[in-house]
Amino acid sequence: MRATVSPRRGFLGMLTEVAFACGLIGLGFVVSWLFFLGR
Amino acid sequence: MVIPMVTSLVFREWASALDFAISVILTLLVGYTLALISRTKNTPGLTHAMVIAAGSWLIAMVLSGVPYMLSGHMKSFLDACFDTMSGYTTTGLFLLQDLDHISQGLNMWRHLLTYVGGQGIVVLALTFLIGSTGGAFKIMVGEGKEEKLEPNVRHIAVLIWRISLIYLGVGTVVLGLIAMANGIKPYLAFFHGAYIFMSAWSTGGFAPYSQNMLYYHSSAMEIASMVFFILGSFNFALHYAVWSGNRKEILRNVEIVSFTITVLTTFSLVCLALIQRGVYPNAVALFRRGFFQLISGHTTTGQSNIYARTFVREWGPLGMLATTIAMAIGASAASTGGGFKGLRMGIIVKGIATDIRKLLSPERAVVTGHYHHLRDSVLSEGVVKSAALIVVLYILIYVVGAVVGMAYGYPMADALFESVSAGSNTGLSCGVTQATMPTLMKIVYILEMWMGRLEFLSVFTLFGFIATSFRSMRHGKAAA
Repeated sequence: MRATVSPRRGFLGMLTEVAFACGLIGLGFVVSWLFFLGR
Repeated sequence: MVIPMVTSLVFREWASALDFAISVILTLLVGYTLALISRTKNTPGLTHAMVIAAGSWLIAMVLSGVPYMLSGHMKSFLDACFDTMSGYTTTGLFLLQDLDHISQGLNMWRHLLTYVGGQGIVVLALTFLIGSTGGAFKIMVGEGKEEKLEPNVRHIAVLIWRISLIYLGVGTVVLGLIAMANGIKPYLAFFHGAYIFMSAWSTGGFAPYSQNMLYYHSSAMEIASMVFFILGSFNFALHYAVWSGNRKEILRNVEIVSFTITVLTTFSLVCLALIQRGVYPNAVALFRRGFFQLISGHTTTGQSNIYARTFVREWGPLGMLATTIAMAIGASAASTGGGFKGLRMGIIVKGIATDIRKLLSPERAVVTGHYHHLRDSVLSEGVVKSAALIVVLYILIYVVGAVVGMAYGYPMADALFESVSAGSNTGLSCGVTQATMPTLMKIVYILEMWMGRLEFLSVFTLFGFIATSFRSMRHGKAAA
């Protein structure tokens, strides 16, 4: 990581990645819930 | 080996510390001997680079198996090699006996193997050992991390390690605190945090106890681990793009789009199977077991919060098939994961779509496909062909492993599940992988793990190199 990755950008990048992963997990929960409702 | 040795000393495990001391001396002796034998002033060519990449995994497998063997927890040296290959390739299958009573040092060793393997043994060597970088990038290409993040290869290695070490710090603290909240003693909780993080981030799948994630009975631990193994399955070039400020890339990247679609499709199949069979009583249980297992398989992690035989006894053929497909597809290219990779799936699907559009368009119309991976690129036939070729080779090793399993009497679904798990470096097991399984199956799984991790090219180059050397030796003898 040269000058292109500042600590602030790196931190925001990490938050973005964690938010995406949490979003995908949330989608997984919605799918389970929908299947359970429609059983 | 020094880190697990120090861990053993901290926990006053003298026998284990001695095992590692012996292994360190043996490794240094072998390493210096090989370095002396192969000393050269020439820059390695591409063939040499690939042979080094493929060969170094085999040498590392044998040397790293020594502390396993000395621990007395392995039934044979082949089993030790199986476990080390599984660790280095971030697979997670294991044949180690009585896992719940091994030393902390050996536990540290298992998880370090998977963490180091995830970043690539060669990257480690590049970071710490090689001063000049003339042929170094070629070695990196041979190991399957072909993304050009930065022009300087040492810089790539440092970058990969920096991202991984930052996440190691964050992950150890988060998982350690959750472990503490679940009643694990503070000094042990952070060891557990580090172990589970290394296993998740490297999409490895090992855990300190035989019950894997089931041991913790903690949904917080499972969700935190899921976050880390999803992140671990990302392409390092994507990490770099996002960390450099190009945050929208995470939503546009063909690999991530492909990954999201295949996760949701295969999970829908899992839900269908589990609801048909009435396995779980509510949506939360369905999500907690079903989604964790599915995404653990899809990211080729292999952490598990159900017992191995639950796949066969409760999930049934559809549930097992959906998980097998997810494992076969796998994670992203240039990540710690295995399988076909989302990039190849995306490219092949786009290639098929472009061909259909060509068929439906007027004869003189020019139809070109595009895909977005860090930048917009035109989909050439060569790219689609290369992606399809690698996918075919993966299918081939999955089928060979499954046929060998079936030949030994395992049911097709079990044999295919386990073979795909080994070949895609996942590590989920439906109970086939055990110390008592036939020796040939152990060897086939070792080869599957190795080939799957290195994505064939460097392995085939090694085979070609050996065959050529053998042939020239024979010709030399005949001429003499």
